[in-house]
Amino acid sequence: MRKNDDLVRIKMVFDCVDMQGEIVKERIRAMAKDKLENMEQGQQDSGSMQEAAMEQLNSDVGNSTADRVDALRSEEKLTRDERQEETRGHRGVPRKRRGGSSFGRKPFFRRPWPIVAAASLALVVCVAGFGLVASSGSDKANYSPESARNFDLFDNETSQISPSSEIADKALLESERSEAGGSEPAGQAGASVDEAMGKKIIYTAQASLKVNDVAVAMRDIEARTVSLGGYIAQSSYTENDGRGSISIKVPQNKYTEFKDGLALWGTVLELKQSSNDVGLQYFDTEARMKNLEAQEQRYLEILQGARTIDEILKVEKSLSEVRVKIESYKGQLRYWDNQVDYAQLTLTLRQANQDLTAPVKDPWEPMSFSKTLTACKNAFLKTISTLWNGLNYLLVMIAYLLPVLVVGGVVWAIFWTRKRKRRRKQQTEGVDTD
Amino acid sequence: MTFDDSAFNDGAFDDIYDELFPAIFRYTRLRVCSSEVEDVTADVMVRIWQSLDSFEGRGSLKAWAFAIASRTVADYYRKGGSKKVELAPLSDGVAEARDLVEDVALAFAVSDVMARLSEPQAAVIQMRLVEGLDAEQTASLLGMSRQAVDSLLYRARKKFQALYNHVDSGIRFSGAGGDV
Repeated sequence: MRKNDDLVRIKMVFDCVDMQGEIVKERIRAMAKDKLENMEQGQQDSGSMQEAAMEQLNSDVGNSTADRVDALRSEEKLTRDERQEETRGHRGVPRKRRGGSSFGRKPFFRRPWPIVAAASLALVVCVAGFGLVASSGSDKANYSPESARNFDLFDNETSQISPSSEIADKALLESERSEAGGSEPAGQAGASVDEAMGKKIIYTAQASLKVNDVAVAMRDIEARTVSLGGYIAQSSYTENDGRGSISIKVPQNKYTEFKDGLALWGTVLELKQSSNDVGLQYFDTEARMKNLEAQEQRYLEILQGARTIDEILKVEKSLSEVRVKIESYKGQLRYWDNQVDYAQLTLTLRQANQDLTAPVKDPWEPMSFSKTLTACKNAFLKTISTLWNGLNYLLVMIAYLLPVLVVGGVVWAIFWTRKRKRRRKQQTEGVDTD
Repeated sequence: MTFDDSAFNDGAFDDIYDELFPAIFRYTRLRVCSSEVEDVTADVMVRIWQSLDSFEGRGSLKAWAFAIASRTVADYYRKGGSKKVELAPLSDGVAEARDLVEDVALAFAVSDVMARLSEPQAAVIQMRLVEGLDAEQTASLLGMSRQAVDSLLYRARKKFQALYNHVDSGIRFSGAGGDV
């Protein structure tokens, strides 16, 4: 159990990351596309910007796969070079110079080329486009202290202008409005659904039966359950005491049919039925869930407009809150649906008393006469071995008792000698006084 | 999967992006602080797209993409003057974590615990347990032997359990919500 606990927790973290990822996915896609477009632009302007990026990749040695990927990549670069040549019509570009060892080259951003200008232009466009104030230009924000400071600074800004709190207020206001106005349609929906779908009643029954053959009866019950479109939730059967119990789920509309047919298998000793109307809670929960889903939709719309990661996180926080609630309602509804759709019956089966008029199987089972001698020999040996063993055990018992006997004997001997001495003394004293 | 300028507009980029984004984001989010993660992730996707021709279908695309992601993240750290890649807990960009829903708060708390593992330990947990890469792929990705991957995974889980149990008193573990 301990072993899988950590897996569950780790998965939880990654689920959380996935949730965040879903939110920023489209924005990052746009960023990546922009970067690609800018790079292609830069490539056309100043040679091979893309190659520079590739070289940067190539210069990163450190992984063992790097070698493999590098090898593959250099091939790929060759083919790409060819393609570039074709597209531009430059047939005679020296390939060696480009495809040669790239490990010793300077990093991309320090190259004294117009690339620097193109790169910073590209990044400025990206940054301006996505409002990421914290990262700027070619020297992207550093990690840890600096980025933390950037983030703090950014946080202060937001707290002054507080666009996120505006967003939160807006969402709250909207949700309140929807809840105030949403109760009416929800009520209507509840009524109409009630009419359309009937009541939400959970049927359960417990019965105990006395049957002639438990195993056969259980097989029959299982077959009948399946033929009615139900399923076995749990079943157990013990051969020894002739008892069985089976818990089944049958479709609600087949419940009465099944219950009435119980007498077919044996005597119904006890039948307890109960029903629970969950209609009110059901439709109430459903209405609440619809409200929350509308709220979730609005949060998502707000998220589309959110510009910074802090805003996103704040909206996301509310969003995940709503989602957790929705999930829990959904689960509850699914549970009820299953409970309502399928009535649960728990049957206890007991073997009826043995029928004395039942035919006896193989009444005459004689022992073979040829085995009599063997049986006699066995009987004789059994007695001998029992006697021999008895003797052995006696000796062993004496061995167990020996220490006690020795101690007891010594004690008795002491007492006996003293008593004798005293008696002799009395006798001699008697003689003296006489 | 060949590089073609028109393919970029044909939605081939979108296909690749949709396929790899969740895994790549899982990788970058746990290693890059939240203010930078979008930029770095976009960089990774750009690099993947640009070097897609070098992927010849040997091994899994995901494992290959992780190799690129790990180098991009390493580059990002190198630009910041650090040689070592560090783990970023999920809660790093959240100003008031205490207002969070219990489940998310718990996930954040667990991620804080995870961030105390070493980077290779977190990587081996992600690759083997979450992304479903096999030991062979993980080994080549992390640049170690198969046996080393197995023992690293074992130690990572042990350490995670130990760390988690240590801070467990501070974390309220909520049940799975609902009556189901």
